[in-house]
Amino acid sequence: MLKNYLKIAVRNILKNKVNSFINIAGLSVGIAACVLIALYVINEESYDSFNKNADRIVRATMKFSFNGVTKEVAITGTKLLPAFERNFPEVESGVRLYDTRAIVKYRNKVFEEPKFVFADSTFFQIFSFKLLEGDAVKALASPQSVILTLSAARKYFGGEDAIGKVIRISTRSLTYVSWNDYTVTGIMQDCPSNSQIKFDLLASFCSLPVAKPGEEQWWNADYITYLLLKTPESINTLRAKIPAYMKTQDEELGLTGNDYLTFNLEPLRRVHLYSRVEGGFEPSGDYRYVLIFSLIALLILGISCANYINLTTAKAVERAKEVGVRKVIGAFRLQLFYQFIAESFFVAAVSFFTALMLVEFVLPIFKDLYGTGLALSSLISTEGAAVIIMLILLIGLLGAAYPAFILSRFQPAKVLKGSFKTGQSGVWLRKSLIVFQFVISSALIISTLIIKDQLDYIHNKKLGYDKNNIAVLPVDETMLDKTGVLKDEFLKNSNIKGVTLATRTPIFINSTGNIVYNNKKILVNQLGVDKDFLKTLGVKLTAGSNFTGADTINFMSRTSNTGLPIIVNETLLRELNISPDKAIGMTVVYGGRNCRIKGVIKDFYFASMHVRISPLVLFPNGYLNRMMVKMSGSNLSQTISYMKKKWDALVPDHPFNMTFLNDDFSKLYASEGRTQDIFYVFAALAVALACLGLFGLVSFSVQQRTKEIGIRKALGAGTGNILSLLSKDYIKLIIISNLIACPLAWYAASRWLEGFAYRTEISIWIFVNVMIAALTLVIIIIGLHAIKAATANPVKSLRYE
Amino acid sequence: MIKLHNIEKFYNNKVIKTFVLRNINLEIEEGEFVSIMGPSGAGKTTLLNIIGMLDSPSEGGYYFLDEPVHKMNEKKLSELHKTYIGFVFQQYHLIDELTVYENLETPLLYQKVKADERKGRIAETLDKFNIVAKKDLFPNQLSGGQQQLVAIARAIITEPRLILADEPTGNLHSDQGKDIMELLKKLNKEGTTIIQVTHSETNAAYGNRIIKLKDGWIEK
Ligand SMILES: Nc1ncnc2c1ncn2[C@@H]1O[C@H](COP(=O)(O)OP(=O)(O)O)[C@@H](O)[C@H]1O
Ligand SMILES: [Mg+2]
Repeated sequence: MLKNYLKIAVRNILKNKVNSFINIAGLSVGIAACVLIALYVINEESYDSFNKNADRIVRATMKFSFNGVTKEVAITGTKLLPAFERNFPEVESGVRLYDTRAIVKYRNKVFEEPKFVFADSTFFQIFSFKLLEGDAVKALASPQSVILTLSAARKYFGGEDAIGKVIRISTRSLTYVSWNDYTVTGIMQDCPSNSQIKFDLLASFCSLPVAKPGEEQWWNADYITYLLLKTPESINTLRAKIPAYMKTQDEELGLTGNDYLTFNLEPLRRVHLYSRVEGGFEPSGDYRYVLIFSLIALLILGISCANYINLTTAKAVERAKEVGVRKVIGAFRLQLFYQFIAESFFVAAVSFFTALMLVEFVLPIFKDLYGTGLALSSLISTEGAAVIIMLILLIGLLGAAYPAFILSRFQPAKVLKGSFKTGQSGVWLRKSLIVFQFVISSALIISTLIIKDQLDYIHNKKLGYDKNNIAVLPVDETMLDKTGVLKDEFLKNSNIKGVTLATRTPIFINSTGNIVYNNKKILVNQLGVDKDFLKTLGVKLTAGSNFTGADTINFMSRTSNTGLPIIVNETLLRELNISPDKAIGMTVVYGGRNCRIKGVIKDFYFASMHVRISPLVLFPNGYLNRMMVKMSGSNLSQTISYMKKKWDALVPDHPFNMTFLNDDFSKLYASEGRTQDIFYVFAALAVALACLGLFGLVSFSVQQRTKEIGIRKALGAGTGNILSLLSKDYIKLIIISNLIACPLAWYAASRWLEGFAYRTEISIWIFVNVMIAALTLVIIIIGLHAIKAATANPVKSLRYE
Repeated sequence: MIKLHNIEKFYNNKVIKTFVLRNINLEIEEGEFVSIMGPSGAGKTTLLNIIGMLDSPSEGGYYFLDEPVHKMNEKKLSELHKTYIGFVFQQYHLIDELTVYENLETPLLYQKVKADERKGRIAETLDKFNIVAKKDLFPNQLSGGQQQLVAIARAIITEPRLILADEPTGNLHSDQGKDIMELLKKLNKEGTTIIQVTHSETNAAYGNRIIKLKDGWIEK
């Protein structure tokens, strides 16, 4: 019997080629989108689960309050781990990690390593990273030991045996400068892509001076601390004990009044998707995007299923005769029902395997967007297989249930007599499904356009400084004496308009200090700069004057504690209630020192547009980490090779790792950019699928109405009349769909925009244009058929009946 | 075998009630070969469909082998229909997507006949109808007469005790029509009860009884 069903299924597929193509192509694309998203979700959900102790590991976050300002960060001091191990029986062990960057040298090879981590020797007992060579207990036990991942080892040593080799390392940090020799004590497998902790080199934590027993501090938070608990449940008891314990440390912490410092704990596996605390290993995922993408994938699948249902029910009429005959020769209703279900499963299964091939094909592109952890093989598991089978069953059932139900109910006597009038069954269902498809498509397009508007808004927004044609070069303390010469050499090139050094770029400033004025203490962001900062970046001074070289020397020497010059932004003055004209020369306490406001600058954006501009202090520091070079814009590549030549000559120890300020700026919105990309893809898919379905339906209804069209033509109807005859109903549906889609998309997009402190206005034109575009598209689709039908010879089409 | 008792059939078209069959009383014994005649629209097909359990009467009683058909549920009807009745139509109604062989096989599949027995019976039937050479062809590759031959073969392959034929030769040349009528007669001789609808007096003469229908009434 099953064989008979399948035979009919295959022959039907081959017989109605256009129809089958639309069905299978539509379903495969829908399923492929789902599978891709599923891979993404599986990857996100699998974060850190490779650790055998995953359910017992927690990340400590530091929560503190000063003068009513409360903050929580994922970094802690060095003392947390030893203190907790001593005082809390719940803690079995723990590890401190210091996530930094370093310059690494081996013979003639010099690389800047952005993923360089220091870790306590307990690292391998707590996490399940795979050590290939070396001793898991001893590898990080002594100072100046380092473990390389396989790819890092290959980079430095090629095929040579790495263990025991000595490499020179310079880590960049305010407290730790200079080159040191490190011995390679282990080789490990590269970090899994679904690990929140990622690094290429892992050095022993005891190499750091701050790690000396007795030197441990609560403050000076720079370290990410993970604790291994005795049981997964003890997270709650421990969490409850911490605030009281930390209260006993107030004296050592120097805390008074309502100020406090305490710690919170996050289960390891929740960190990646659910933690909103910054400062840990970045960047992390966001469960909201996982939800949004999953929802969209399901909607896309819904659209392609709707196509399938629509075409199958429309076509059902054509199969009425077959059903009638089968009934007459003895089929039970249920047997017919099974037949249609079997056919549908067959189509679903074929589509599924087509989809898997599609996925395999587009996965490389998707990987670029979403990281390398995605692989079809992650579906190979009992859950994966179960989900696939469920999905095939679900699609099969969805696609077949209605036609099977309707068809198996046909009265053979009526059908065979030909009194069965076509098209009436399921008209309502078909119309609702078309509306559903176009609601989703239009809503997705509208959302995509709003996302695009917002990103355009961000990119075109006047930031208050000029980010174009600025090269950024990392600089560190070991080359401070060379920066002056470098600057002079660079400026000799006529295409270089200015050079400045600062503690970081103006794109994202999150270093904080505080200012006290008039008994009011506020949290401020701070940026150390040299005297050329304002000029090079085009930041506008509204009052007072710029720093001089002497200011920097004064500030660094720390000889005097009064009258040190700072420059502040307008927001800072507003928060302190100082009027800009009175500000110059005024004394405020900044970082415990008496400082004089020397200048006021116009506000510029130094964080993402998600947050409002906050108070900012510029101070004339000498330890500066970023060199920014303003270029004229012409002969860029020549200018860059000029800089590289000078750089390599003057600081051969340091790789020339240039980036553009503009690109760094875009990275701030990387996740929004990716969201936009995904929306582009999905919106396009939704539209394509919906149109494909409409195409199929229209071609079917034209076929059904061939005779009517023939008669009308014979009576003198023109192509225009035929077009309006065919498109009337659809146009109504499209207008309804858009009317539903607009408020939905408006609501969703407004919620998304609320996440931005600075945002674009949602333009009414987006809605109007999408409506017009949808109508145009539909008229084109119908037009293609209408022209064919209208230009056909009416005599010919009439003869068919 | 068949007892129709005061059968009425009507359709409710919006407000008007259209009668198609009026007060039909009819008895047909096993082994008969009955021809139903009458002008177009007289209700012949409707009557045949009611007898074949494809349609149900609006009023009246229908007893098949002394069982009350008008009181049965769908499942029981299907069961009765498929074990006892074979249908032949004017338009053949073969399944276009299936070959001759598969068309013959389908009713057996619905009756859950075992594979071996299925093969045997199909081979036997193909032989009997002299269409072995055509077994792998699709219906649209056959002439009208051949299609009707296959349709009859399909109707009798389950060995029904009653064959209902609605203008079986209506679409055929007279030569082909004659073949079909001879075949029906032969089947009748072998014991199958046959009820046919026909317009032709010649074809009607193959049977042993003629029932004339007009405007839904049986003419006396
Ligand atoms: N579903 C229906 N609704 C209304 N009238 C019908 C329906 N089916 C058949 N009829 C009517 O019943 C009458 C008898 O039809 P039918 O039995 O096919 O006649 P015959 O086979 O004798 O030509 C016709 O007048 C036809 O119009
Ligand atoms: Mg008739």
